Amino acid sequence: MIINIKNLSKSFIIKAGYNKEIFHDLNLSLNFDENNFISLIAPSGFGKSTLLKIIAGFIKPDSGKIIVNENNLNKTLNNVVYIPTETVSIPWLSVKKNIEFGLSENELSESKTNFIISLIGLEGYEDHIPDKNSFGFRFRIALGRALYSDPELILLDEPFNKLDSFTKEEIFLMLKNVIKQYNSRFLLTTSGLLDAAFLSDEIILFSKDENILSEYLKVEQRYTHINDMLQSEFFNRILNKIQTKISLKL
Amino acid sequence: MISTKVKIFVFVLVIYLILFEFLFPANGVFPPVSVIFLSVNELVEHYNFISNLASTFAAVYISILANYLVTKFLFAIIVWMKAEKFFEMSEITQSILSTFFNIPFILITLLILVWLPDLIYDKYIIATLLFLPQSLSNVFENKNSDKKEYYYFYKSLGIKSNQVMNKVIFRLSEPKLLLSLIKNHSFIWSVILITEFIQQQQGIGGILFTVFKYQDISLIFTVALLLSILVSIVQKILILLYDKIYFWK
Repeated sequence: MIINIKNLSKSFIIKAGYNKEIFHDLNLSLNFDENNFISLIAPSGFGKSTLLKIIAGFIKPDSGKIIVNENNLNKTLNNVVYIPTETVSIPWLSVKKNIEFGLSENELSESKTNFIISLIGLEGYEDHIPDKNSFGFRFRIALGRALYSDPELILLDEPFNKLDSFTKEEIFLMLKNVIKQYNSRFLLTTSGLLDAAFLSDEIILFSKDENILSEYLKVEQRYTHINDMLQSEFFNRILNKIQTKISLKL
Repeated sequence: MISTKVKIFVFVLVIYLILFEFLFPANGVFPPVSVIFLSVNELVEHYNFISNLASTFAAVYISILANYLVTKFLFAIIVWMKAEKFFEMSEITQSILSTFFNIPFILITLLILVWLPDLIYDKYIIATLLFLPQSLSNVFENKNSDKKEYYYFYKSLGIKSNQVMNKVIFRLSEPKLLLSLIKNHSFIWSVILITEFIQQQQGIGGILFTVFKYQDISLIFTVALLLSILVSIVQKILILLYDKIYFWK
């Protein structure tokens, strides 16, 4: 699956007579035939969330097109799940009930529920209702519910912002396992290089000057621990390369 | 360990007892404790206090329940008509609703009593309607909340808008909606008492009308004391229930 974003523009009305341009004539190619996990790194205020919401079909662009495999979006890409920054598992439901929320009797399968629960690392917690501040736990649940729909693409809108470094590493390893076992495709937006470098097959960088695409970076080395990656020559090379182009946080 | 609250209560009680039971028993402002005890007996025997209290009590809590149900019903209708536009509409809807907060409640009460005279359900209608703008405003409140994010997520899973709105978004608003009703519930008591008072209907407001006519300070004082204790106890119970039901809030 190749998603081509052509001349995409979007602005919002801030107050009467004043429009804020989010991005203008954005061009981008997301090749999911060669990559399962692509990250978009851009500084805050670039419009990363807006871009994902346009891809998910929630917001209409002012102009431009999104073409999937040579067809307009929504004709071929029916099943895109958007996971926002905020944790969105239903706080009064248990893990199992969250994973099965909104599914009809025909869609429900005990074995699939159990498989997904084990995939997201919550085996033994089926009846557990997580605390609202358990961000890592609740991200796993949201991901589990997303996987139940067998999506063609999962959009991750900076979902790791509230995670501490220990939980982050656990979640990253779980995500890698999900990609391997479920063959799912992910598009992550982030302003943190660490998330992108650890998880992605390809990183797309946007420079400080909005809309200017800096570079497509292929990530060829794989790491099992964040610390190993941080000390690697590969990571420092990328960091040096992009530090001058965009303002990044680790 | 005796809490500070209890210590203050006992201290005030002792001072009250010394001042108005022994030093100034016939002061015309605060009745002696012995007279308050006698007044309780009088309220029960001559004013049918228990049945009147039951009538007012039912009116208060049925109105709270009705308020919740009407809010839920109106929300369901609004999202049925325009679920997609709910979040865009929320700011303008809130500003329209907030204009109702500035109307003195007594004017609305009087208007309804003029429009619907002699209706025994007036007090229920007034108490339900008065707090409806506040309840709807709580449901439409989206600032600093994740409701829109929830909507996007569940919508992207292919779940129908109405289902997401009614089963997720409304439930997320419920704690704020019900907490506001619980916190306002002593105010709902006041509205019901005033309505009963004006209409001279069955209820504590009706008793207050009679004792006010005879300027019976000790009876007014006793009713106020009993209602304060009752409202405080019920408020504590409601908060406990609220914490139990909305443990996830």
